[in-house]
Amino acid sequence: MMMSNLPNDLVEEILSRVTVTFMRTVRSICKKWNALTKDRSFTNKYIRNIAALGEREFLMIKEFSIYLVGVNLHGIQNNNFDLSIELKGKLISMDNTIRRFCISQIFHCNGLFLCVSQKDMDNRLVVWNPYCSKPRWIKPSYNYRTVDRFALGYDKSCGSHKILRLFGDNLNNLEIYDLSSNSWRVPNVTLERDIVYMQPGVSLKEKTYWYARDKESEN
Amino acid sequence: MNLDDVSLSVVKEEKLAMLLKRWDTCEVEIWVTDKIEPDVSWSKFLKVGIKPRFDFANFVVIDVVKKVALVFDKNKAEKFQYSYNIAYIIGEKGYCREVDLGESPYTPLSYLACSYVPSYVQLE
Repeated sequence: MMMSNLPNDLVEEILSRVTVTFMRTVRSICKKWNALTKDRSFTNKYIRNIAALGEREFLMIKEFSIYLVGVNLHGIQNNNFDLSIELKGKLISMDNTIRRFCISQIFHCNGLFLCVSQKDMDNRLVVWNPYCSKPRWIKPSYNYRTVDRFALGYDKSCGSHKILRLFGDNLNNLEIYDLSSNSWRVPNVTLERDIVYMQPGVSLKEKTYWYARDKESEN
Repeated sequence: MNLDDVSLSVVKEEKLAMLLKRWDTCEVEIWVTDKIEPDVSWSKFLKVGIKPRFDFANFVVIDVVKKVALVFDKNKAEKFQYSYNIAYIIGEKGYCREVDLGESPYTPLSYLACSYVPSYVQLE
């Protein structure tokens, strides 16, 4: 029997077991599968399946690509962990996007991730939920520096995801990109503390947290 | 002046976790928040000695109840251009085991990894 002759719910069941890193290939096979795997009910089932496995996932930068990694903790015996770490595949890589893509930062927020690439004078940002959308490429307002820091967040007041860029001396300058209006703007705020630039911030429940230190006094 | 190193992570989209390496020891501590609003309060979660020359990296908490976390680092081979992503599996009673995550040149250490939780959130 051809897979195209199978009932929809069975196809959905089979495709929901495919690792997300292969989902782009699945979607390119036919229009029916493309539509089916982008449907909200499919995504929900897909995510429920992962949760049922009890697997934890993280993203890792390796060889200029972003890998999805799964961790399964089966048990602890004699103070020795039965823990497996599996590289599930590349989400974004130099090979299948653009040659000059060289990832230097990743940031996670609500199942979306932001990655920052930097090579020569070509800087790019990409935001993506690998489970249900296509990567979205964003051109920065101007070329940023290696020490600039980025974060992705959700602004409840306007229902829009936004990218924060911290730059300049002690990362005291801010710039915000609105993913709904596709525009950069400079907010009128001053940071009360210095963000420690080596350490990335994290996003939790619509807020972004950074490790910061009190400003050093002028003396 | 306080020269301890601190890195942040998120546990199951519910809690903040903090990896702390004090400047005068080779031990790392992980703290997890009990609450964040209105004030943050932390509880110590794990304390492990890693190695004398542990470069400071980021981390993910795998299981809050069983107290397991992964701390990431880079391992430089004899020649500088071959460096490896590695993880230390750390747990209670000072448990620490090193796992090789594969060769990876030029990866920035503090952005080596971040925790990820799938969602159906779409970009507007």
